[in-house]
Amino acid sequence: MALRKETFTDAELIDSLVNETRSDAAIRFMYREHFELLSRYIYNNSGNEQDAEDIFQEVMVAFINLIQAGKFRGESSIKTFLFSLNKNIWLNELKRRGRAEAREEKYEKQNVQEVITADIAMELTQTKSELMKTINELGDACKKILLLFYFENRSMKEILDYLPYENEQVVRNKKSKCLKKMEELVRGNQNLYRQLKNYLHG
Amino acid sequence: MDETLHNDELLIRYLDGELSVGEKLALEERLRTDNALQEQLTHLRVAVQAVKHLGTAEKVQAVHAEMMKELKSNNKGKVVSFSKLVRYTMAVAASILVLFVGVRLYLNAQLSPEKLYNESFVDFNVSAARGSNENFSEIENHYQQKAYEAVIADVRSVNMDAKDSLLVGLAYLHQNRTAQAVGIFQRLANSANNFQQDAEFYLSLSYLKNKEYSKALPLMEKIKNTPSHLYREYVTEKVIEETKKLNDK
Repeated sequence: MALRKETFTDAELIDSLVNETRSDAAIRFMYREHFELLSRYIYNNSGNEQDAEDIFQEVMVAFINLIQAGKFRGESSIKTFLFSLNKNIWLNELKRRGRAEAREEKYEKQNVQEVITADIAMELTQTKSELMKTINELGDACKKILLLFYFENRSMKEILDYLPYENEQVVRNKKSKCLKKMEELVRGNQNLYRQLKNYLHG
Repeated sequence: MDETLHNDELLIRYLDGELSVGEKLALEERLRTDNALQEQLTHLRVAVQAVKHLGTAEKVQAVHAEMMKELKSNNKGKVVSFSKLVRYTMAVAASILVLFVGVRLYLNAQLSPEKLYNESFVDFNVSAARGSNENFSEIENHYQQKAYEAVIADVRSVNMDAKDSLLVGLAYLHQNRTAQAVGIFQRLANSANNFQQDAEFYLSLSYLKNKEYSKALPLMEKIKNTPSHLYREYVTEKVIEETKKLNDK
């Protein structure tokens, strides 16, 4: 199927990323617009193809989460912000690998935005795997039902089409149990809990 | 325990927007005074946040696979970087060259365009759009081998894309044919392509080498003042200051 190649202004992009049903096209647009530049930063700083792809994915996830929490206020252009986020996430990855290229003096933080993205990158480094670990403990059935309801905004009735439950009430009960289980798991991990809590109030 | 369970149910229905107006107002009243209940609500909100983060990560992962395919086919292949050995060899060779030239120039003069050029020059990292099963272009091969005359000769025989043009410009620069380098970098810097920022950087260095400081300076300032410029970290305050001094001489 041929994909329609939409273009977005920064404001349109933010608007589309907030709305999950329209975000696919916006994400595709960001790949077309920014992957080349951001990946070349990685190559120029000791990274390889896989590193560039992995870091870009992390940049995308972090940026969308920030947009949805209302934490990107447009002080800089999206391009500038993504570049800075990409740089800081990569530097943290290099530090994690114990690489000399991550010498901090070379990458002094030059403005407020650098400080913000450096902080975000640090949090990501600390907790990125912890969320996945937690989700794995949740189990597939719970993961599916919670994603359908809280991420895709499906109704109980619609969820019945996806999952083998008898009726809406059964789905509702199951979803409550799953959310409580998720709550216990996340609360059990202080780092993860603190980071996620930061995203609560936009 | 029963109360906690009951509260959880109530709070989840509140989060899901399923309470009647009366139930909602009553709960909000309780939340204003009951810290424990407030905390319980926050815990549940954080859990919902975790679900949303997971959903975003999965969505990006799905789009990622599709987009990599599209971008790689657009770029005639996937992006690969030079092998580490080649990169280190080039880096060592470049360092030795810079050191050699640097020492020689230091003996001649403290501040000169040659010295500044050599301090500022970073060679282009030929990590480029090519599939692992595809060959590098003639120009790329020759550039890697530092066969700059051959790179220039290739111009007559191949259909060049933006990266090839950049390499030809660099070959001219390596051969001290700055006028030709300037012409190529100007065209690249003034058109939309993936190597525009590289061209701006090398154009500023070409001007510097050609002692056209007043043309080099605005480009250097632009690079320095563009946070997302690939070469921003190479154009330091010191480089700009010294170019200004040369301009004032």
